[in-house]
Amino acid sequence: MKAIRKRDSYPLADGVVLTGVGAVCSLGNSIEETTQGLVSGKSGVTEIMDFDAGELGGFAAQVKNPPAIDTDIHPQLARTMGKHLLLLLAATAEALSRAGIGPGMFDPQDRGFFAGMGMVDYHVEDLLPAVIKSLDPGGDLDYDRFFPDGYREIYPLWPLGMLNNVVFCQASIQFDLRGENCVFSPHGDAGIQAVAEAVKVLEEGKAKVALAGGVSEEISPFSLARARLKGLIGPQAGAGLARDDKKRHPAGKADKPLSACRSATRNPQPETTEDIFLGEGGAMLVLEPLSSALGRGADILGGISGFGFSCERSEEDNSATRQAISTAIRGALSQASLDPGSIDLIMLGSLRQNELEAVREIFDTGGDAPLMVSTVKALGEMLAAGPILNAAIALSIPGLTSFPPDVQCPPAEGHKLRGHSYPRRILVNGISSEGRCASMIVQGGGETK
Amino acid sequence: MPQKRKRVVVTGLGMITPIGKDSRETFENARNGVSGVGWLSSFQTEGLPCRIGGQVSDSSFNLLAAKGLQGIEKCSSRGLKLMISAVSEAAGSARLDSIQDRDRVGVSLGYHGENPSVEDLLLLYRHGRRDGWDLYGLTKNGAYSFFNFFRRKPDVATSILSILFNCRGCSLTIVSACAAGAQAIGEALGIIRAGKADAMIAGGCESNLNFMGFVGFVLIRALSERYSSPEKASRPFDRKRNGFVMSEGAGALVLESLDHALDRGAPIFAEVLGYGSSADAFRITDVHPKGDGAVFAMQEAIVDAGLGSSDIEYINAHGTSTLQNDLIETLAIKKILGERAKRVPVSSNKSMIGHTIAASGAIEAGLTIMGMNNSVLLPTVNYEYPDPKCDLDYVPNQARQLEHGVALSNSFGFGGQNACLCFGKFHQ
Repeated sequence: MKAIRKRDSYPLADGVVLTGVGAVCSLGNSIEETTQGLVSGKSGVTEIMDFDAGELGGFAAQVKNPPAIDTDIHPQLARTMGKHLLLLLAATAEALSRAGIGPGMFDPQDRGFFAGMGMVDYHVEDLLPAVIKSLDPGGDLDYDRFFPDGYREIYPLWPLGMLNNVVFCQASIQFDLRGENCVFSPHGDAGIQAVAEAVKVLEEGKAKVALAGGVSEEISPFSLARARLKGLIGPQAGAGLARDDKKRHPAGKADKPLSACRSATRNPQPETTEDIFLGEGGAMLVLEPLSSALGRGADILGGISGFGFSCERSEEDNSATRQAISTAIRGALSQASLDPGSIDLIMLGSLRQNELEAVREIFDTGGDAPLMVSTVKALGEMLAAGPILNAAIALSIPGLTSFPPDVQCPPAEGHKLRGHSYPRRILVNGISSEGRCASMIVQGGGETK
Repeated sequence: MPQKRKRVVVTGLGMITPIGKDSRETFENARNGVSGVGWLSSFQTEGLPCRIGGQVSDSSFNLLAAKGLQGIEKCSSRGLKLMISAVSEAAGSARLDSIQDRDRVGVSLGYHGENPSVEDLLLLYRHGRRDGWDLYGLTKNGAYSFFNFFRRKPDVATSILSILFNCRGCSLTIVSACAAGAQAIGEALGIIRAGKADAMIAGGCESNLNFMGFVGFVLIRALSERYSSPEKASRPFDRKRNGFVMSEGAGALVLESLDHALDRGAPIFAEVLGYGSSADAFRITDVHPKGDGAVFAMQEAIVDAGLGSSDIEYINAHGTSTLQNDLIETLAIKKILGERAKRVPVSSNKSMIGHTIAASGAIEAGLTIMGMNNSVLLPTVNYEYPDPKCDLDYVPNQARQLEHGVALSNSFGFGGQNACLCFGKFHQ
């Protein structure tokens, strides 16, 4: 085992604990449904039916029927927020409910709220009427008609569809969350940044309870195109845009049979992003100081004990470099005052070579290796929601041996979990496509108590 | 509770605004009440009810840091170019290059990415189909390029800054509309206090002076539409205010732990004493009528600084020149300062610069610090017709010489996110 350099450790004096989790993703509308689906070997990846995605590979892990939440939001405003709103509201509602926090339990100004929000996209249909009204007979834009008059056809609230924080603000209204807050954007690291900020605010006494989590992007032609072009999803997932790549990736087919797709999405063979699809989801954690949670008799699901961050972009694939991921992991271990040998479970943020190399550099890969799990193929690449959902899954799954083999990464045999029913210490990674990466250490509930 | 908290100081400062290519020029022009608002020339404004804004001349850009880096030009939005200019100045003044351990230097940026262009809309129309979009055709014809996706994503700007200025530490992108720049600074403060970085580049940038960026604000009637001349349009707290003036710009600070700054002999411009944030949780399109969110953010910043409201000597207001903001902010300041409210000077830099959205909190933080160090209160220009409901000392029209050591800087974002920073003159 390699030693972790101790520097600027910031121990959590009273400890911050998790008292609620909420999640919605392609496998279900709650954390329970999600873990059950995962354990039973389901994949959330299905054919995209709500728009023609043939050019884009045709498959994704969508949330098909997000739970309805009663809200008095104006329908027009709700439309600009799209599925983001449903994902955030559903995850937050479940997390609060599971934590036993109802209206009036905390002063609204003592409720912190932090989230990593995936990119939002404007609705093209809000803008096109202005173009249509301003076309000349040849089908080109007549600027003399567009600027003085045609632009008035643009839907006035269209810019709200580009602001990642609007949905967040709507959730703060819905749940009366008036305390310290921040929105981070948009990838895997952003969800962990949100949790880190929540922990800091609780430690400093600026809030008595904090919600922290993340929301993915909504699956749309633009999010698929963006993910494909950024290399977040594999060529198959973006087959149409990758026509030029087919010579290099002959397996890439836009009309890939669903059964073959499902098969490909379960087994997380490392060192490739092929067959990774975009996923939708939202996940939220409720965090409280240990003493406060004990004082109100809350169920303690786990604890948070360290964070690490870094940023260095790989020239090859725009992802974080091995060195950056290693720095983030070591930072988290250092803050938690843990040796690598004390980690039982690693929830990977990706299946990229850089992350796997960083993990292998730090952790034992022999018989005492921690279990490594990747949900990215089963649930899709969920960006800011991914690490938070992974943390929630790790704390909620009914026993370590419940992780089916096809979400485990090599080395899957001989790992140290045989002696434990539940993971005691979990490393959760979040990787961005822009070089940023984050890691956090989550303690299982038994450890916290 | 955490151990004794690290003190955090400002060791670098930079900005680019409609009234200056750097912080010195911006501050001097602001001291003299110079307005940067003019008729817009960067895009077609004919027929729009508002045709003014605060533009930054391309010749003001300082892009030396990006020179020679392939691909940066294509990936760079105008907002990012503004930010590179501001960070170049801030990093230079902080002598950031002298920090050896780059894993301990991070970037915290408030930004929202680039808007689509009118030409993008035409392409989207051409490639629209009844059942979706011909993305292949859209992206492969060359007009809607791969780089549009880069410029649209706010975090790309953060990553490019990290690369250009060799920052391998914590990197975050904050999206909270007009509060983003201030929140980026507040988050950087927390990261250094928590020992996760020795130094952070923090700030915000924005450029919405393009048709699609601008017209969104025109359509929701947020911009000033009645003005005798462009430079008279931004008139915070004045009875005849009728909307804000859109501007572009960027502001950057280098924050550093005091111990680290002293160890390397860095210049120290000020101390960041506190930060507070809050949510109105009221309505997306309206601020809380009692100013509860603004009050709480200011209160949190003061408490975080270990001070009381009686210690506050100046407030750099959000002061947008909208009917609603200026009224509610005045109310909130009164709640915070009590009977002292009318004696504590409050002014709005937006009266000269206009509203730079995500950049505003960072630019105003820089000007607040420079005001303290020069014992100058920057004025609120165009204050001609007192509003009986806005009855504080807004430092009307003329800068004022006054020594002051503790100041707040307010930023309130669309949707109801509020941020407040507390700065103090540095004392060992």
